Amino acid sequence: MTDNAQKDSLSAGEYQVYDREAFLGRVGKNEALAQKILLKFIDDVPKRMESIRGAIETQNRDEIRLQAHTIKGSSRNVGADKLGHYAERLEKSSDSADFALLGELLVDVQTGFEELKGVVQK
Amino acid sequence: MKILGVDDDEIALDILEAAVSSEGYEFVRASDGYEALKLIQEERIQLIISDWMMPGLSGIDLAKKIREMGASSYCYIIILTSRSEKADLLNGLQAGADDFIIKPFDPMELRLRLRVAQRILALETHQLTIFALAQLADTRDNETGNHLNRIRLYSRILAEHLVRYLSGTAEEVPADFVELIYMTSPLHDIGKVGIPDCVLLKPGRLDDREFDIMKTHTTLGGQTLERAVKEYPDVLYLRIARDIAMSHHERYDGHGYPEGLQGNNIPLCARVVSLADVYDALVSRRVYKDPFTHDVAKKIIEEGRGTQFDPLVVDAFLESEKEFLDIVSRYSDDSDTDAILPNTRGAMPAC
Repeated sequence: MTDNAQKDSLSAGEYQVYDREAFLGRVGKNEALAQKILLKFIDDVPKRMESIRGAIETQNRDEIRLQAHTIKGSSRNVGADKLGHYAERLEKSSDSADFALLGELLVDVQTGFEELKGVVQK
Repeated sequence: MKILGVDDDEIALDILEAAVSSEGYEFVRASDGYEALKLIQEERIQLIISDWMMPGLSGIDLAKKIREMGASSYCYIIILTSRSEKADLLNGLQAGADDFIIKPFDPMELRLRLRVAQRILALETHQLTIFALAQLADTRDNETGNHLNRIRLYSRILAEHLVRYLSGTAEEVPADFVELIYMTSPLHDIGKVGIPDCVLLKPGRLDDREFDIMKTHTTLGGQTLERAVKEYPDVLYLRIARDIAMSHHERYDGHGYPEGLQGNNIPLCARVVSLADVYDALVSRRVYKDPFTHDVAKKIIEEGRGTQFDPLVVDAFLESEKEFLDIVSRYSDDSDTDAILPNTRGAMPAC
């Protein structure tokens, strides 16, 4: 809990793009399984970002919150802390912010995702 | 042990499965609360790890529904959450969650919390074993499974009142008295195992010699549990069980058995179970009598205030009449829904 509390107070630049060790620890150090889950994750996130884009257009705050929440949860699970941070900002703003701002926060999520893909592919 | 993971995010379930399987647990998954409820009814699930925020039923709604279902064995519920606000956690506990793990989980923390869950589930299994053994002893004199259920429920209600009455007085009440009496009161007649069939199952009235033999069920039970107390003197549970078995036929005026203890020399737990046992005998059907109505039983108990029964225990009874009536109707011998053992009524030959 302390670790998470500390992470909340960090700015985006201080999050790791990909914390491989933490991710491997969560899957019992099974590298093959980690690889499989990571590919699934990389396949899954764009679909959820697309749903958010659609939900911003139809002004469906519940859908924005739910999809951002899921991206946040699975990002942190696979060690994508920075992407998780962007998704959390979008989730937290989904109830109150105007839709233009939510659109900008979605762009951050997309940027975070591209950055993650770059690091992972290395 | 089988663990059910509930999350609408498949990736979260994959990771949870990897973590849980690497610890040697069997893992089943549900992608929402309704699927989880269905699985719980079909399979023997002892532990659930559920996400908090899900479409449809949330993890907390799921916990509430599981507790409402009142499954026969306990299901331990851990909620995965990114919330750490005290109010959120309190709400979760109130709904029936047992523990929380903050997301993303730390593998070491998950491992340790699963061990805690296992310890608690093992305790529950011990309690079920004790209750089943008490029921086994009871089947010898044709008691039903529900008799013991009623006794422990009456005893718990009386104990709740007594804890309140006695706080701040000289009479010391153990901190978890209410729970302890609930767990141990079913053992009150365990000594009947040692009473010969020709006395225990005699259809007619017992003569003096037979009644003397019958009375020894208190000392037989008490001594058996005393041996356990000697082995583990610090276990309060055993001491209370021994006191109840030994002294639940003592009377407040000193005219009871086996020791003729008087007043507060009779352990408090035995004074409680004494009233619970007599009330249950009065309102239940016996071979030799129809059940008395609650009002008749109440009158008899009121008449025994200060002679047969501790006045305070009688006061507690009078204050909780409604709950007693509720227990009688919910756990009647006719319904006998909770009997673990097959009904052996009439199967025991008399001599």
